[in-house]
Amino acid sequence: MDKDSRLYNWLSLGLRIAVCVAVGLLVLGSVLCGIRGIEPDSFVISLQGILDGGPAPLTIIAVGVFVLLFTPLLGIILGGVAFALAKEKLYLAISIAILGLVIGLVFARM
Amino acid sequence: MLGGIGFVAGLVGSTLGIGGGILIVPMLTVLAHLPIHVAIASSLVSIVATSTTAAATYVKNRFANIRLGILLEAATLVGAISCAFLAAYLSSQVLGILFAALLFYVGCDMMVRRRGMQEEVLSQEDAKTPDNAGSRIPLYGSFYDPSLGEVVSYRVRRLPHGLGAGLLAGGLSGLLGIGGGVIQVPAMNRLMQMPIKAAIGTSSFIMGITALGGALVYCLHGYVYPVVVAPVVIGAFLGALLGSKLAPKAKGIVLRRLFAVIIFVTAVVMIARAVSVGL
Repeated sequence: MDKDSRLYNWLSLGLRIAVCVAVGLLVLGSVLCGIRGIEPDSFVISLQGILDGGPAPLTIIAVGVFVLLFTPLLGIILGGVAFALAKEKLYLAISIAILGLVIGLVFARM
Repeated sequence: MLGGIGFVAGLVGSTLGIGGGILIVPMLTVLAHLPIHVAIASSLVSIVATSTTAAATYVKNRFANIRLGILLEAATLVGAISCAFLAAYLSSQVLGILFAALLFYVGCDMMVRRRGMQEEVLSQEDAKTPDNAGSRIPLYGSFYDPSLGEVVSYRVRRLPHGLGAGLLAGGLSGLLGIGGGVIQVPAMNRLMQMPIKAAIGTSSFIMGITALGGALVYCLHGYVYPVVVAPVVIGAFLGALLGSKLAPKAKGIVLRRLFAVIIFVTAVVMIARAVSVGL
Protein backbone atom coordinates (compact mmCIF):
# COMPACT_ATOMS: atom_id res chain seq x y z
CA MET A 1 0.00 0.00 0.00
CA ASP A 2 1.48 3.40 -1.03
CA LYS A 3 1.56 6.47 1.22
CA ASP A 4 -1.36 8.10 -0.57
CA SER A 5 -3.56 5.03 -0.09
CA ARG A 6 -2.83 5.06 3.65
CA LEU A 7 -3.69 8.76 3.82
CA TYR A 8 -6.97 8.23 1.95
CA ASN A 9 -7.97 5.25 4.14
CA TRP A 10 -7.18 6.99 7.44
CA LEU A 11 -8.95 10.12 6.33
CA SER A 12 -12.07 8.23 5.25
CA LEU A 13 -12.22 6.41 8.58
CA GLY A 14 -11.61 9.60 10.57
CA LEU A 15 -14.37 11.48 8.74
CA ARG A 16 -16.89 8.68 9.33
CA ILE A 17 -16.11 8.41 13.04
CA ALA A 18 -16.21 12.17 13.62
CA VAL A 19 -19.56 12.65 11.84
CA CYS A 20 -21.09 9.74 13.78
CA VAL A 21 -19.82 11.19 17.10
CA ALA A 22 -21.20 14.62 16.22
CA VAL A 23 -24.63 13.32 15.16
CA GLY A 24 -24.67 11.10 18.28
CA LEU A 25 -24.11 14.19 20.47
CA LEU A 26 -26.89 16.05 18.66
CA VAL A 27 -29.29 13.12 19.21
CA LEU A 28 -28.29 12.84 22.89
CA GLY A 29 -28.71 16.57 23.47
CA SER A 30 -32.09 16.62 21.70
CA VAL A 31 -33.37 13.62 23.68
CA LEU A 32 -32.24 15.19 26.97
CA CYS A 33 -33.92 18.47 25.97
CA GLY A 34 -37.14 16.53 25.41
CA ILE A 35 -36.88 14.58 28.69
CA ARG A 36 -36.06 17.62 30.84
CA GLY A 37 -38.47 19.89 28.96
CA ILE A 38 -35.81 22.57 28.48
CA GLU A 39 -36.93 25.67 26.62
CA PRO A 40 -34.02 26.80 24.47
CA ASP A 41 -35.04 30.48 24.66
CA SER A 42 -32.28 32.61 23.23
CA PHE A 43 -29.40 30.12 23.61
CA VAL A 44 -27.31 30.40 20.45
CA ILE A 45 -24.42 28.14 19.55
CA SER A 46 -20.97 29.67 20.05
CA LEU A 47 -17.64 28.58 21.49
CA GLN A 48 -17.97 31.27 24.17
CA GLY A 49 -21.43 29.90 25.03
CA ILE A 50 -19.96 26.43 25.60
CA LEU A 51 -17.20 27.80 27.86
CA ASP A 52 -19.66 29.97 29.79
CA GLY A 53 -21.86 26.95 30.42
CA GLY A 54 -25.60 26.60 30.05
CA PRO A 55 -28.23 23.90 30.39
CA ALA A 56 -26.37 20.60 29.84
CA PRO A 57 -28.51 19.34 26.92
CA LEU A 58 -28.02 22.57 24.98
CA THR A 59 -24.29 22.53 25.71
CA ILE A 60 -24.15 18.93 24.42
CA ILE A 61 -25.85 20.05 21.19
CA ALA A 62 -23.43 22.98 20.90
CA VAL A 63 -20.43 20.64 21.38
CA GLY A 64 -21.93 18.30 18.77
CA VAL A 65 -22.25 21.18 16.29
CA PHE A 66 -18.61 22.18 16.82
CA VAL A 67 -17.37 18.59 16.50
CA LEU A 68 -19.32 18.43 13.24
CA LEU A 69 -18.01 21.77 11.99
CA PHE A 70 -14.39 20.84 12.72
CA THR A 71 -14.67 17.40 11.08
CA PRO A 72 -13.68 18.62 7.59
CA LEU A 73 -10.49 20.03 9.13
CA LEU A 74 -9.34 16.41 9.56
CA GLY A 75 -8.70 16.39 5.81
CA ILE A 76 -6.50 19.46 6.14
CA ILE A 77 -4.65 18.18 9.23
CA LEU A 78 -4.00 14.64 7.98
CA GLY A 79 -3.21 15.98 4.50
CA GLY A 80 -0.84 18.56 6.02
CA VAL A 81 1.04 15.86 7.95
CA ALA A 82 1.32 13.70 4.83
CA PHE A 83 2.53 16.69 2.76
CA ALA A 84 5.09 17.59 5.45
CA LEU A 85 6.46 14.02 5.43
CA ALA A 86 6.55 14.02 1.61
CA LYS A 87 8.10 17.55 1.61
CA GLU A 88 5.36 18.91 -0.65
CA LYS A 89 5.82 22.50 0.46
CA LEU A 90 3.06 24.11 -1.62
CA TYR A 91 0.30 21.88 -0.25
CA LEU A 92 1.72 22.10 3.27
CA ALA A 93 1.67 25.91 3.10
CA ILE A 94 -1.92 25.99 1.82
CA SER A 95 -3.03 23.51 4.51
CA ILE A 96 -1.45 25.71 7.22
CA ALA A 97 -3.04 28.85 5.72
CA ILE A 98 -6.51 27.24 5.71
CA LEU A 99 -6.09 26.03 9.29
CA GLY A 100 -4.90 29.50 10.36
CA LEU A 101 -7.90 31.16 8.70
CA VAL A 102 -10.40 28.83 10.39
CA ILE A 103 -8.73 29.06 13.82
CA GLY A 104 -8.63 32.85 13.49
CA LEU A 105 -12.36 32.84 12.76
CA VAL A 106 -13.14 30.58 15.72
CA PHE A 107 -11.35 32.85 18.18
CA ALA A 108 -12.44 36.08 16.46
CA ARG A 109 -14.74 37.18 19.26
CA MET A 110 -13.33 35.34 22.25
CA MET B 1 -41.31 19.31 11.49
CA LEU B 2 -37.73 20.60 11.34
CA GLY B 3 -36.40 17.03 11.43
CA GLY B 4 -38.79 16.14 8.60
CA ILE B 5 -37.53 19.07 6.51
CA GLY B 6 -33.94 17.95 7.05
CA PHE B 7 -34.86 14.36 6.21
CA VAL B 8 -36.66 15.28 2.97
CA ALA B 9 -33.81 17.60 1.93
CA GLY B 10 -31.18 14.94 2.67
CA LEU B 11 -33.20 12.19 0.94
CA VAL B 12 -34.09 14.13 -2.22
CA GLY B 13 -30.70 15.85 -2.36
CA SER B 14 -28.66 12.67 -2.23
CA THR B 15 -31.06 10.73 -4.49
CA LEU B 16 -30.77 13.41 -7.19
CA GLY B 17 -27.11 14.18 -6.52
CA ILE B 18 -27.68 17.81 -5.57
CA GLY B 19 -26.78 19.53 -2.33
CA GLY B 20 -29.33 19.67 0.47
CA GLY B 21 -28.89 23.42 0.94
CA ILE B 22 -30.87 24.23 -2.18
CA LEU B 23 -33.85 22.55 -0.44
CA ILE B 24 -33.29 23.28 3.24
CA VAL B 25 -33.23 27.07 2.95
CA PRO B 26 -36.54 27.47 1.06
CA MET B 27 -38.29 24.81 3.17
CA LEU B 28 -37.19 26.41 6.45
CA THR B 29 -38.29 29.85 5.30
CA VAL B 30 -41.49 28.95 3.44
CA LEU B 31 -42.76 26.01 5.53
CA ALA B 32 -41.28 26.68 8.99
CA HIS B 33 -41.41 30.50 8.67
CA LEU B 34 -37.88 30.94 10.00
CA PRO B 35 -35.82 34.05 9.24
CA ILE B 36 -33.67 33.42 6.16
CA HIS B 37 -30.40 34.09 8.03
CA VAL B 38 -31.25 31.32 10.53
CA ALA B 39 -32.24 29.02 7.64
CA ILE B 40 -28.95 29.67 5.84
CA ALA B 41 -26.93 29.03 9.02
CA SER B 42 -28.78 25.75 9.70
CA SER B 43 -28.36 24.71 6.09
CA LEU B 44 -24.59 25.28 6.21
CA VAL B 45 -24.21 23.13 9.34
CA SER B 46 -26.25 20.30 7.80
CA ILE B 47 -24.20 20.53 4.58
CA VAL B 48 -21.08 19.83 6.66
CA ALA B 49 -22.74 16.61 7.90
CA THR B 50 -24.04 15.36 4.53
CA SER B 51 -21.02 16.36 2.43
CA THR B 52 -18.54 14.93 4.93
CA THR B 53 -20.43 11.63 5.03
CA ALA B 54 -20.33 11.49 1.23
CA ALA B 55 -16.69 12.62 1.16
CA ALA B 56 -15.67 9.73 3.45
CA THR B 57 -16.82 7.31 0.75
CA TYR B 58 -15.35 9.31 -2.13
CA VAL B 59 -12.00 9.63 -0.34
CA LYS B 60 -11.82 5.89 0.28
CA ASN B 61 -12.48 4.95 -3.36
CA ARG B 62 -10.15 7.74 -4.54
CA PHE B 63 -12.82 9.68 -6.46
CA ALA B 64 -11.83 12.71 -4.36
CA ASN B 65 -8.52 14.32 -5.34
CA ILE B 66 -7.12 15.62 -2.04
CA ARG B 67 -4.34 17.78 -3.53
CA LEU B 68 -6.71 19.56 -5.89
CA GLY B 69 -9.30 19.73 -3.10
CA ILE B 70 -6.91 21.56 -0.78
CA LEU B 71 -5.94 24.03 -3.52
CA LEU B 72 -9.57 24.80 -4.31
CA GLU B 73 -10.56 24.91 -0.63
CA ALA B 74 -8.33 27.96 -0.22
CA ALA B 75 -10.44 29.77 -2.84
CA THR B 76 -13.85 28.53 -1.67
CA LEU B 77 -13.06 29.32 1.98
CA VAL B 78 -12.10 32.92 1.20
CA GLY B 79 -15.26 33.32 -0.91
CA ALA B 80 -17.49 31.74 1.74
CA ILE B 81 -16.15 33.80 4.66
CA SER B 82 -16.29 37.09 2.73
CA CYS B 83 -19.83 36.57 1.47
CA ALA B 84 -21.10 35.24 4.82
CA PHE B 85 -19.97 38.54 6.40
CA LEU B 86 -21.69 40.37 3.53
CA ALA B 87 -24.92 38.36 4.02
CA ALA B 88 -25.25 39.64 7.58
CA TYR B 89 -25.69 43.16 6.15
CA LEU B 90 -28.19 42.18 3.46
CA SER B 91 -31.92 42.26 4.14
CA SER B 92 -34.07 39.13 4.13
CA GLN B 93 -35.82 40.39 1.01
CA VAL B 94 -32.57 40.75 -0.95
CA LEU B 95 -31.35 37.31 0.15
CA GLY B 96 -34.75 35.79 -0.70
CA ILE B 97 -34.68 37.21 -4.23
CA LEU B 98 -31.04 36.14 -4.74
CA PHE B 99 -31.95 32.63 -3.58
CA ALA B 100 -34.95 32.52 -5.92
CA ALA B 101 -32.65 33.51 -8.81
CA LEU B 102 -30.33 30.64 -7.85
CA LEU B 103 -33.33 28.27 -7.79
CA PHE B 104 -34.26 29.31 -11.33
CA TYR B 105 -30.71 28.61 -12.47
CA VAL B 106 -30.66 25.17 -10.80
CA GLY B 107 -34.15 24.36 -12.14
CA CYS B 108 -33.11 25.24 -15.72
CA ASP B 109 -29.91 23.22 -15.32
CA MET B 110 -31.92 20.20 -14.14
CA MET B 111 -34.33 20.51 -17.06
CA VAL B 112 -31.67 20.61 -19.76
CA ARG B 113 -28.66 19.00 -18.10
CA ARG B 114 -26.49 17.08 -20.46
CA ARG B 115 -24.30 14.22 -19.46
CA GLY B 116 -20.73 14.99 -18.50
CA MET B 117 -18.40 15.97 -21.31
CA GLN B 118 -16.55 13.37 -23.33
CA GLU B 119 -13.82 12.31 -20.96
CA GLU B 120 -10.24 11.98 -22.00
CA VAL B 121 -8.86 8.60 -21.00
CA LEU B 122 -5.14 8.60 -20.25
CA SER B 123 -2.70 5.99 -19.13
CA GLN B 124 -1.35 6.57 -15.61
CA GLU B 125 2.06 7.60 -17.01
CA ASP B 126 0.51 9.98 -19.57
CA ALA B 127 -1.60 11.58 -16.85
CA LYS B 128 1.57 12.46 -14.90
CA THR B 129 3.25 14.06 -17.93
CA PRO B 130 2.81 17.84 -18.05
CA ASP B 131 1.48 19.29 -21.31
CA ASN B 132 1.14 22.76 -22.79
CA ALA B 133 -2.51 23.03 -21.81
CA GLY B 134 -1.77 22.06 -18.22
CA SER B 135 -1.06 24.48 -15.39
CA ARG B 136 2.34 25.07 -13.78
CA ILE B 137 1.29 22.89 -10.86
CA PRO B 138 1.11 19.30 -12.09
CA LEU B 139 -2.14 17.77 -10.89
CA TYR B 140 -3.35 14.35 -11.87
CA GLY B 141 -5.26 11.48 -10.37
CA SER B 142 -6.60 8.02 -10.95
CA PHE B 143 -9.31 5.84 -9.49
CA TYR B 144 -10.92 2.49 -10.13
CA ASP B 145 -14.30 2.94 -11.82
CA PRO B 146 -16.46 -0.11 -11.01
CA SER B 147 -18.97 0.70 -13.78
CA LEU B 148 -16.18 0.57 -16.40
CA GLY B 149 -14.23 -2.16 -14.63
CA GLU B 150 -10.95 -0.29 -15.13
CA VAL B 151 -8.66 2.35 -13.64
CA VAL B 152 -9.42 5.85 -14.95
CA SER B 153 -6.49 8.29 -15.03
CA TYR B 154 -6.85 12.00 -15.70
CA ARG B 155 -4.90 15.23 -15.79
CA VAL B 156 -6.33 18.40 -14.24
CA ARG B 157 -6.31 21.38 -16.60
CA ARG B 158 -6.99 25.11 -16.28
CA LEU B 159 -6.37 25.41 -12.55
CA PRO B 160 -6.80 29.23 -12.56
CA HIS B 161 -10.31 28.79 -14.01
CA GLY B 162 -11.03 26.25 -11.27
CA LEU B 163 -9.82 28.65 -8.59
CA GLY B 164 -12.11 31.36 -10.00
CA ALA B 165 -15.07 28.97 -9.99
CA GLY B 166 -14.13 27.97 -6.43
CA LEU B 167 -14.22 31.60 -5.31
CA LEU B 168 -17.67 32.00 -6.88
CA ALA B 169 -18.96 28.72 -5.41
CA GLY B 170 -17.66 29.67 -1.96
CA GLY B 171 -19.26 33.10 -2.27
CA LEU B 172 -22.66 31.60 -3.10
CA SER B 173 -22.25 29.14 -0.25
CA GLY B 174 -21.58 31.84 2.34
CA LEU B 175 -24.26 34.12 0.94
CA LEU B 176 -27.10 31.64 0.38
CA GLY B 177 -26.31 28.54 2.46
CA ILE B 178 -25.69 26.10 -0.37
CA GLY B 179 -22.76 23.70 -0.74
CA GLY B 180 -21.52 25.16 -4.01
CA GLY B 181 -21.61 21.88 -5.93
CA VAL B 182 -23.86 23.44 -8.58
CA ILE B 183 -20.87 25.57 -9.61
CA GLN B 184 -17.95 23.31 -8.66
CA VAL B 185 -18.97 20.08 -10.35
CA PRO B 186 -19.63 21.57 -13.82
CA ALA B 187 -16.46 23.68 -13.53
CA MET B 188 -14.28 20.68 -12.68
CA ASN B 189 -15.91 18.50 -15.31
CA ARG B 190 -16.19 20.95 -18.21
CA LEU B 191 -13.41 23.49 -17.57
CA MET B 192 -10.82 21.38 -15.78
CA GLN B 193 -11.67 18.28 -17.81
CA MET B 194 -11.92 15.93 -14.86
CA PRO B 195 -14.05 12.76 -15.06
CA ILE B 196 -17.49 13.42 -13.59
CA LYS B 197 -16.95 10.98 -10.71
CA ALA B 198 -13.72 12.69 -9.70
CA ALA B 199 -15.47 16.08 -9.98
CA ILE B 200 -18.33 14.98 -7.69
CA GLY B 201 -15.95 13.31 -5.20
CA THR B 202 -13.59 16.28 -5.02
CA SER B 203 -16.52 18.70 -4.76
CA SER B 204 -17.90 16.77 -1.76
CA PHE B 205 -14.47 16.92 -0.10
CA ILE B 206 -14.30 20.70 -0.64
CA MET B 207 -17.89 21.39 0.41
CA GLY B 208 -17.29 20.59 4.08
CA ILE B 209 -14.59 23.24 4.48
CA THR B 210 -16.57 25.75 2.41
CA ALA B 211 -19.69 25.30 4.54
CA LEU B 212 -17.56 25.38 7.72
CA GLY B 213 -16.24 28.84 6.81
CA GLY B 214 -19.72 30.24 6.23
CA ALA B 215 -21.22 28.48 9.28
CA LEU B 216 -18.56 29.92 11.63
CA VAL B 217 -19.38 33.44 10.45
CA TYR B 218 -23.11 32.83 11.06
CA CYS B 219 -22.16 31.45 14.53
CA LEU B 220 -20.33 34.71 15.23
CA HIS B 221 -23.48 36.64 14.31
CA GLY B 222 -25.67 34.45 16.57
CA TYR B 223 -27.79 32.77 13.89
CA VAL B 224 -27.14 29.13 14.91
CA TYR B 225 -29.88 27.92 17.27
CA PRO B 226 -29.66 24.43 18.80
CA VAL B 227 -33.42 23.93 18.60
CA VAL B 228 -33.27 24.42 14.81
CA VAL B 229 -29.88 22.98 13.93
CA ALA B 230 -30.09 19.69 15.84
CA PRO B 231 -33.28 18.29 14.22
CA VAL B 232 -32.34 19.59 10.75
CA VAL B 233 -28.86 18.03 10.87
CA ILE B 234 -30.10 14.71 12.28
CA GLY B 235 -32.89 14.56 9.65
CA ALA B 236 -30.56 15.51 6.79
CA PHE B 237 -27.96 12.94 7.90
CA LEU B 238 -30.55 10.11 8.02
CA GLY B 239 -32.18 11.26 4.75
CA ALA B 240 -28.82 11.34 2.97
CA LEU B 241 -27.99 7.82 4.20
CA LEU B 242 -31.29 6.51 2.82
CA GLY B 243 -30.96 8.57 -0.38
CA SER B 244 -27.53 7.11 -1.14
CA LYS B 245 -29.16 3.63 -1.11
CA LEU B 246 -32.07 4.76 -3.32
CA ALA B 247 -29.98 6.76 -5.81
CA PRO B 248 -28.95 3.82 -8.03
CA LYS B 249 -32.62 2.77 -8.38
CA ALA B 250 -34.05 6.24 -9.05
CA LYS B 251 -35.50 7.01 -12.50
CA GLY B 252 -33.10 9.89 -13.10
CA ILE B 253 -34.55 11.98 -15.91
CA VAL B 254 -38.24 11.88 -14.84
CA LEU B 255 -37.37 12.60 -11.22
CA ARG B 256 -35.08 15.49 -12.16
CA ARG B 257 -37.69 17.18 -14.36
CA LEU B 258 -40.42 16.75 -11.76
CA PHE B 259 -38.11 18.19 -9.17
CA ALA B 260 -37.20 21.09 -11.47
CA VAL B 261 -40.90 22.05 -11.59
CA ILE B 262 -41.05 22.02 -7.77
CA ILE B 263 -37.95 24.23 -7.70
CA PHE B 264 -39.56 26.74 -10.09
CA VAL B 265 -42.72 26.90 -7.94
CA THR B 266 -40.58 27.37 -4.79
CA ALA B 267 -38.65 30.18 -6.49
CA VAL B 268 -41.90 31.98 -7.38
CA VAL B 269 -43.19 31.57 -3.79
CA MET B 270 -39.91 32.95 -2.38
CA ILE B 271 -40.01 35.97 -4.68
CA ALA B 272 -43.68 36.60 -3.84
CA ARG B 273 -42.95 36.44 -0.10
CA ALA B 274 -39.86 38.65 -0.40
CA VAL B 275 -41.70 41.28 -2.44
CA SER B 276 -45.02 41.32 -0.54
CA VAL B 277 -44.61 40.45 3.12
CA GLY B 278 -40.87 39.95 3.55
CA LEU B 279 -39.29 36.71 4.67
